[in-house]
Amino acid sequence: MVSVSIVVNGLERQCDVEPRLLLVGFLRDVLGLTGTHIGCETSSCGACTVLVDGESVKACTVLTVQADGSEVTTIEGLAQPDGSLHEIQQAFGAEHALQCGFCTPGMIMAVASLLKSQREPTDRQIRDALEGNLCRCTGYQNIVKAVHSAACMLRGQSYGLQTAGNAAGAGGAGVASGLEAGLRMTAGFSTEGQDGT
Amino acid sequence: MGGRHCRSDDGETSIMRAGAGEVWRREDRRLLTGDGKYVADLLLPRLLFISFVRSPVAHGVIRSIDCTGAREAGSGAQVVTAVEAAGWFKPLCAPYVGRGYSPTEYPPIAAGKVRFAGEIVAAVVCEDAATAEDVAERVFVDCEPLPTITTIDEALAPESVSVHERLSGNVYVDEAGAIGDVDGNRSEAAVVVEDVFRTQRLSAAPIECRGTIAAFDRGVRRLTVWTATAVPHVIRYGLAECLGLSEQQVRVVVPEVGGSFGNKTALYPEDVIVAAVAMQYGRPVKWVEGRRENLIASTHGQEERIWLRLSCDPDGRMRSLESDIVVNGGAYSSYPDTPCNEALNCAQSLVGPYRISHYRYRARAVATNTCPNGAYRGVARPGANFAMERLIDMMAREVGIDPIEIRRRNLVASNEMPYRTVTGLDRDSGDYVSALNTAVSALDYGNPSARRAAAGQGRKVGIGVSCFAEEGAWGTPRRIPRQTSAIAGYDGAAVRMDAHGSVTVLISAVSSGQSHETVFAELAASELGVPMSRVTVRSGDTDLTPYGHGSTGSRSAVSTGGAVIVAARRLKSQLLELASHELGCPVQELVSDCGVIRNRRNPSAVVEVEKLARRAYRRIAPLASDAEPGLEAVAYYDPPAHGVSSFAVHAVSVAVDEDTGKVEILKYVIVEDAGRLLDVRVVDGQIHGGVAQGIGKALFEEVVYSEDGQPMTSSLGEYLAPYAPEVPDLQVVHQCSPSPLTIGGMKGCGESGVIGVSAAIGNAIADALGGAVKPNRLPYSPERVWRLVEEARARKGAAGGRARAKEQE
Repeated sequence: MVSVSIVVNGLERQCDVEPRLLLVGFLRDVLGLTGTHIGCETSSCGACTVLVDGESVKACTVLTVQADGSEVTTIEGLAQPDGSLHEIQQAFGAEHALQCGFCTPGMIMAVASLLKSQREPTDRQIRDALEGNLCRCTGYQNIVKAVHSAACMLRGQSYGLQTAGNAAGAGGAGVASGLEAGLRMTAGFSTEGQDGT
Repeated sequence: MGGRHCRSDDGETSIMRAGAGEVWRREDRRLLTGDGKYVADLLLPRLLFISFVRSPVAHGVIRSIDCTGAREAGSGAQVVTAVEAAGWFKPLCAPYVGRGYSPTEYPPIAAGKVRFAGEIVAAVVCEDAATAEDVAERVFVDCEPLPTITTIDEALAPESVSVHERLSGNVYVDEAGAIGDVDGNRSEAAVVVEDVFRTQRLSAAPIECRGTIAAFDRGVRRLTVWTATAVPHVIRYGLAECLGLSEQQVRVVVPEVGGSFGNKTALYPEDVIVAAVAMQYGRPVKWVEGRRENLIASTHGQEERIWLRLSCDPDGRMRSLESDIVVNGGAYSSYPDTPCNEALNCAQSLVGPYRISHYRYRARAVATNTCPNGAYRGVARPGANFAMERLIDMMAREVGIDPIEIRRRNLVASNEMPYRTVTGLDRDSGDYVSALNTAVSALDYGNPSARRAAAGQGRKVGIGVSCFAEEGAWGTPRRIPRQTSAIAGYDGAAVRMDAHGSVTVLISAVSSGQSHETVFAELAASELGVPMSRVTVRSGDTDLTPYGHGSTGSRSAVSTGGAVIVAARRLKSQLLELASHELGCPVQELVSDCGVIRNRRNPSAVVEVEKLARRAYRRIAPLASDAEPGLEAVAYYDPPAHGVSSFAVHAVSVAVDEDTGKVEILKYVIVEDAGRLLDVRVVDGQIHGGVAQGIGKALFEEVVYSEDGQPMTSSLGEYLAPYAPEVPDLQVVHQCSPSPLTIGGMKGCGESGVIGVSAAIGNAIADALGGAVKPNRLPYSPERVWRLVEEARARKGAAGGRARAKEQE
């Protein structure tokens, strides 16, 4: 067994793990964060995508011991402590970018990574950035719309969403704007209970 | 939550709008935050885990199963083979009421013989999932190999090995029929075209693989099963049969399901084994499938060989149609659909949306040493549509009529409807010709300069269309002659209002992404006249919901929609009776809207629904003497006996790269008519997803076996489901003609997106390459397309003028 210390959604976790334990197994089975899903065994589907030190990573391709000392963000760490959804989550919901929901957490985390580096991505850039995330339900069309919508919200602009009630546009009610703020879980900020522990 | 749409509005499409910060679907909040609980996420105290040992060979006699390595591991794991499991369960035996079918048994654990690579030969039971896998790898199965067959042609060859002793000639089912005078009409026809069309074997590949947990309470002697399925009542029925329990002793609970597309509509050997082990060990047992298992051992879809012969008059009007269909049914007859589902559906669907009076068919399904065939989105209709629409284009070329015009002349006209096909399907409503015209003009068909602009260097552009009528929502009368009797043709809904005016809708259907929690809450709220925020839909628990079929075959809008409407109306009339008593006026004067019931003639006579609900339960004030306490109604809806048909046209332009054979979709237009749409955004989402799977079928996906039956596509790196860069945006146009045959006017269209894609793309490829080539085999891999390019070049070189005239400048 090897001792690891990983900050997950802002909380430091210290555990003894088998060297062969994948990060996705650590998150799901040790920490009980089952929002990160397993859809294949060959790093093909992307359902297990999380952020490790801000970069999108397929958690089935990383050993837990490799993530020692890192900061990991999972889907459970995206919404605000008061339950307000992140812009990406809002946009996915508003644009019907999910149906069965199984690929969704990984898809959203991949989008989070994209929007960190591309504030106004084109259709092509969005599709290429998501080339590692398989969806069988949506045909991707609404996912692309959702990414555009989320990017707009994060830039503080209003966008022609189908959610016509959202006249004010910027960010929606009660959600902190800015991708960095949404993702940064500062040390010492208590998220007890939020991530399912 | 929403609630801006309270009033009943028959015949109108309903659109829910969410406000700022709200999510639109009921399902979404938990799914967006990772709080959705799929079967892999569930745990029980004292849980045991199962890992399956699967046959490494495709066909063989089991000589021995060596567990010494497993025992030495010291893990406490138990290995369960057919020997240990003797008497634990009966084999699966899918019934079918039909003259040409021979039933065969499917032992959950291979007994003596293995018939496909991936078949279960043992189950390893352990306290820890990882250890169970480790131990399973150390179980050595020794088989005496037998000759192996994997293809349709091999199965039919007279000297081939027999997969099942009691199946003569490896044929599960062989049915034939004829209507009208086929030979006479064909002999008088001006043009006769024929060809053999081959569709590939597919895997539904939902992102969530299968999984089952079972727990047996020895005290009350009840089995509870948590499983990712679309058909909980089928699972309950089948498990009870196999395990020697009554249905009443079995409860099937369905957590979130991460996609099914038919992959989760069978009762699998894995489910039977997990339940039996739970019963024997007295502890709950869990199995979660890996992707390799899903790709080699969960049912495969749609591998067909379809011979088709079509004849027409000089003006292109169809005279006769003949088909000979063979489906690769795999090693076992899957439960409950059997391979008859695929074969006979195909025979029935081939006539399409056209006027055909003379038809002859033969439909067979054969046994091979491959994974069993089961339902996959569209079932036989993608293959049938592929064959028919390709052949129509070939016939158009032969008779010298534009492919669009030839379809106009043959599509059933709206003034002929309802039109019953010679195969007993009702084309009940819609303007098919208008839909075709709309699709074609939206695609900018026949505009040569647009084509030239899109072509680019080294590429040829082509246009193709495909038309189809999708018969969804099969009711009981349709199921009995065509399919198995093990499943109901109807669905049920119970609508219950509590003492506070909150409504629960219990449905027999189960969603695997189709938004039932939202759509049926909207529908019930609209029928009752209460805000949607007061309505909750629950499903996926056989102890709770009415009995019914479940969710397959594009049926839920019709069958569950119908049941919800009827049950809600029954509940509403109970409320109106109470209101009539309360307000002292006749029921006919009352209207229910936005949570109150008022007298339409006297606006001040109004009562809140919540108050009526309190009265119904507390019974403090006197009610009408014959009123029962409570507020509850149950309804079952059996869809029309001859089905109901949605219709769509797919029109596509593609660019074919002459050097690489790569096909790029330039524009994709769909015009569809699914009758009344319960929620247009859900319908659009279903179409987008269906088309993506259709593009996978047309261009990328194929389950491949080696000659000796080894699965060659056992990961998503080899089985090429399309990702975002491969799927273009679609333009979807809705034409909604409500069905006169269903309650509410819905037609159902969950599968339709996938049906027309291969034919439309194939017709476009043929058009791009000069029309003489015949892309009649799927998928259109780059190699296959490149060979067609070469063939077209060779023809051009040989034939000269005619090919040159068809080609773009």
